[in-house]
Amino acid sequence: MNAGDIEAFAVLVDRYHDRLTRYANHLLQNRADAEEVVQDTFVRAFRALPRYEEREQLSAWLLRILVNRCRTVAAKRRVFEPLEAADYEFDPGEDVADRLAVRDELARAMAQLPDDQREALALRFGEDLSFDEMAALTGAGVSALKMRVKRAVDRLRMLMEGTRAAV
Amino acid sequence: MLPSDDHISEPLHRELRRTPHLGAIARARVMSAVRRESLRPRRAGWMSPMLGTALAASLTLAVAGGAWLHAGAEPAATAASSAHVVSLGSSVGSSLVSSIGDTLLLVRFAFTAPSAARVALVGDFNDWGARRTALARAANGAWTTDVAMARGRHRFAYVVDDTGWVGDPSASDTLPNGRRAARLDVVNPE
Repeated sequence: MNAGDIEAFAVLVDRYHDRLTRYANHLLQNRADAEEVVQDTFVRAFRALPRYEEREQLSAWLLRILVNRCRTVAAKRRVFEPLEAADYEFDPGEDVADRLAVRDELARAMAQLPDDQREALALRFGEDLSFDEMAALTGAGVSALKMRVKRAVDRLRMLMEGTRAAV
Repeated sequence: MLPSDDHISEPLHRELRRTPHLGAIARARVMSAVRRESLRPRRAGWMSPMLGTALAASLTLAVAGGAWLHAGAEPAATAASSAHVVSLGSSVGSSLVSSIGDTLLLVRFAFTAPSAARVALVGDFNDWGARRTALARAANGAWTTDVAMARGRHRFAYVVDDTGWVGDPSASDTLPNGRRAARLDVVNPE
């Protein structure tokens, strides 16, 4: 390995770091865990570069590694400490207080979903994947994934309505 | 009010798509771990000797050969700001470089602002995040940065000293927020 390899890899890290962190935060709802799995994903990707097959999109390859790492970490621990408002930027026209309230409510509700539903939700809405792409990534069938997303959305609605009713 | 069944997917999509900007420190931490990994002993044949050479070449050789891409195509505009492909990975035959080349080109942005303390690049490629892509001060009041970008049309602007938004008056679009941004067509250099 030489400095050129590292420089080239840094381009990938710049390009994909925040996107991978977005997914990891949705899955783990914990900033430290999210940063740790993203770092681990890049290190594993760097180690596995010789086995990377060009027919697969680079972003999909990285996401595949990340999804597997998140599954492992999610099974071990769960402390709700997601990314904070300062980690995001908002458009000038947005009502920041309103958006933060929605974000917080949504994050708390997502943290209560089963892991597989949270994963399906994050891939579908966060990463904007089609159900076919989700199936290729997760190994689950398309109909099962559609059901997971539907159940996740139903559960989210129930949780968020419950929160508002309690206020 | 909670969104109805028909409308919950829109706010879900908007909030879950919102990308955090953790900044250079977080990415530097990752690269530090990658560098440590690169120093670990490998079994023979772990990496083709050609890969390192090819990658290094792709990141340094093409500076002189790329095409100027500033969409304004006005000499007066490119004198103050420019965007320039500095690397085309697909011209080099390694898997990583090819994969970058399939989707991304490295574009060098240069902007002249001698009195600025900070200059950032914002555009559709970084979600218009003013903390995402800082330019580094170079000689003679110039500021530069290299960004990996997908081929196609992009819009961008510079943010000077955290507040001053500088688009490009010679070739610009008006964004939904009323600000103006330059257009940039990223294509393979000839």
